[in-house]
Amino acid sequence: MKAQTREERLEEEKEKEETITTKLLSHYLIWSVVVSIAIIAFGTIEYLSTGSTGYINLPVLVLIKTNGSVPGVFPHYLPSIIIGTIHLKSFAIIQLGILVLLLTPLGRIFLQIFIFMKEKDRAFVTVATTVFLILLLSLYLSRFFT
Amino acid sequence: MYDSSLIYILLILVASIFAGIIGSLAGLGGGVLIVPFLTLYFRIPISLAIGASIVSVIATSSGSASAYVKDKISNIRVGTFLVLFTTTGAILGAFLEHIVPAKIIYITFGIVLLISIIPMIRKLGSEVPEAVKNSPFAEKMSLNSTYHDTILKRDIKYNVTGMKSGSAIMFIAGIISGLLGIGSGVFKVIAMDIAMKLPIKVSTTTSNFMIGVTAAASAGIYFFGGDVNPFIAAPVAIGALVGAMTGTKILMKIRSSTVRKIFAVIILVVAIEMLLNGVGLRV
Repeated sequence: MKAQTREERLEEEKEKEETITTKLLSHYLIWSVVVSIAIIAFGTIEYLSTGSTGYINLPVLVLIKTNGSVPGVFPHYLPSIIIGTIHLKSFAIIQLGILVLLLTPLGRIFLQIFIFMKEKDRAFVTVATTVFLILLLSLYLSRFFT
Repeated sequence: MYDSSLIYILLILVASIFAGIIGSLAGLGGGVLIVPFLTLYFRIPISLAIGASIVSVIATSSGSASAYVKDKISNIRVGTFLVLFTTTGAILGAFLEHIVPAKIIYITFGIVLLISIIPMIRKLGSEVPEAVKNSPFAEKMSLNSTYHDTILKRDIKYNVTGMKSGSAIMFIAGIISGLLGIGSGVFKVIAMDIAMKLPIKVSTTTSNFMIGVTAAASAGIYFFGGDVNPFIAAPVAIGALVGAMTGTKILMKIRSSTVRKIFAVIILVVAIEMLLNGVGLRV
């Protein structure tokens, strides 16, 4: 009888812990989307109200066909994005928002590693860590695609 | 110049909202129509269209995943394991995108859209598969699980099999996602429904978790490679998210399969246009 109540209590505690982690994950996902979309929207509104990208202003029909290989049109590296954001350049702000959005899944896997650790699930700590490393590798490999 | 940029951004925004609504009503996710719309109607180079699309895929999948984690149907263990293959595939796909000629990408896109129509017309897999035994690997990693079905009002226990073929299809799904800038949720669901025999509710929600992580693997390559142009990517990300959220709300009210068949026709038309563009027949 006594053992059963203890078991029930453990079960309850486990359930509580699970609700905390699902809440954490769901809040993390919502807020990272809200924050990144807000930054993107802010940059877009600034661009439309000032009419300036903060960089070389190309005619729209040329701009929509321009990628990062043309220098000085929009930043696509972390240092230039940060410097541009400090100077409140609209295209740098948009890129910052996109970067936050892009790193959301990386953070989500990072959280998942800790959730598996807490569950003492060693095999899946390894699997999630490998996924995290693959995502980091993709960021490193990006330098070879310019 | 300033006026035309406002008009362009608004047009891209409206097109992305529209793509997001149709995509989610068709059960395909917002991404599949973004690239066709941007390339066919805005004449945007396909690499920049893919760069903008893959960013929007992360936005829509993270947005809906926040709702899915709460209902605890998705099998995170299965998802985390399979994401090993989709992310590796996605990196390869993004690499291929940089070396393959644009017409091949248009043709591949058209073929993938045609394949996506199949589950819209015919239901694949079964709601609750019976008599599935855990494969030895699934047993070892304890991938089997339980979820509570609110419609059937009971807990559903299920096992997992077909890990090898499932993983192989996931690798291909990853390549397609990285190559075309889409979530390729259809292929993920096919792998989990048909090869691994998961209940349909589990495979759809788990696929949603996987789409965001898979997209991140190629999105970094497009972003730092300079293929994410903020002028295009900003209205696409905002529009696709708004569209997908609107689509999900509409979907709760109408659940008829006739609606899906109407959208199947739209997808078919877009698929043909992409194929024609690929072979150089579209003016």
